[in-house]
Amino acid sequence: MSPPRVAILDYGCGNLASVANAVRKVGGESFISRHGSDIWTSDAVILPGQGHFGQAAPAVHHWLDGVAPNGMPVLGICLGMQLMCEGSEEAPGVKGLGWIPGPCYRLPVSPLPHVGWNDVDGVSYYFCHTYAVGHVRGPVIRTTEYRGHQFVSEYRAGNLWAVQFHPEKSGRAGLALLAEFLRL
Amino acid sequence: MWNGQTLVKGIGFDAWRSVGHPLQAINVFQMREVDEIIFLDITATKEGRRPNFQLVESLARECFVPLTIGGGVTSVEDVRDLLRAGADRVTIKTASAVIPECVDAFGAQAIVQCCEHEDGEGIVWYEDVGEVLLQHRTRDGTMRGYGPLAGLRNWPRPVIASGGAGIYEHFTQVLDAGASAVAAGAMWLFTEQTPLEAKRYLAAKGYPVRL
Repeated sequence: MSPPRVAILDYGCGNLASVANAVRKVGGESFISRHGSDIWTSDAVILPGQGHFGQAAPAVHHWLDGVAPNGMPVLGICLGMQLMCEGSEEAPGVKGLGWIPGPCYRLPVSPLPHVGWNDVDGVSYYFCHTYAVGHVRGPVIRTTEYRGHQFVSEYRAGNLWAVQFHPEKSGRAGLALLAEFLRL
Repeated sequence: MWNGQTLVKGIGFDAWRSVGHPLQAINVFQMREVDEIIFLDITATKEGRRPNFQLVESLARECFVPLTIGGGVTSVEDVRDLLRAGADRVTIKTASAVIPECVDAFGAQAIVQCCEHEDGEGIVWYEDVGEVLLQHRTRDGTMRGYGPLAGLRNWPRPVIASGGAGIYEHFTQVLDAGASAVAAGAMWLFTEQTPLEAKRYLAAKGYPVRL
């Protein structure tokens, strides 16, 4: 069996190399998609993290509008997760993909950004973010607490996965999650 | 710590001895469950070199925990190129005047200010950096403890204590003084102690650690 081929979308955010390295580490093959038209040649898509919602949203719409979120496996990481929502306080008026039924908001605590290792259902992952997904309903929801405030840190609905943390920077636990995603 | 050719460890930033290749160290430290790797080029500034971007790229390929890079960083362009090469954070020490500009360009979470000090004296830092790496000038490599540090709890930014760790008790001492995190080098290289064992020790004493 050939290794799963993963398209990593480049909408101008950093961190693409880390995601590509981690995919390679768990036995996948990846390519950076700069135009979106080539994502159809892949087995799975990753929306990577870090960057500004308002700057990333236009490219994501251009590439992914009309894509049924339950077809090809899609993983949103950090900003990628937020782009799957309906919108974000970071860029009022700019629409997200609307795959996760709810908005993103700025964490109402300080200091921000929330940086460092934190707990998701007994497993530690590495976080680096200022905005997060509000309380939504979904088949699988995991939350994390930061400074007394709970936010959604993991969301899964079929082949649609989203995580607020960075699995590519979360050591063994993060690599295990990526390996699980590649088996979808 | 790196001198441009090999991983080194000395005492008080002097009398350096080679302790192998950084890639090897990165792999070993990850097996031992470190939470972050800080890689400092300690001769770049002295020799007027820019950071070794190619090396950073090759380290980042093998690094699946946050990677912090420093040494020889003098401009916004250096920071940008290091982040592109795969660094998650960049430390700036000598060229501290460029810190505000770098924080504006890349966000506070990407910038760590490295402050060299002598028993808590001589610490000057910018308020808007993401974290402060406190580096003891003369204790580094001695494994005699981080030295007397007080009042860290009142700092508005997380502080990583560095320079002097030799036994696990040194971690609890400086954490009790208010440090948010601890860094160590020599004790992993020259003693049988390991990061994983250190974390188990801290967890047993009730300190919050990732296990």
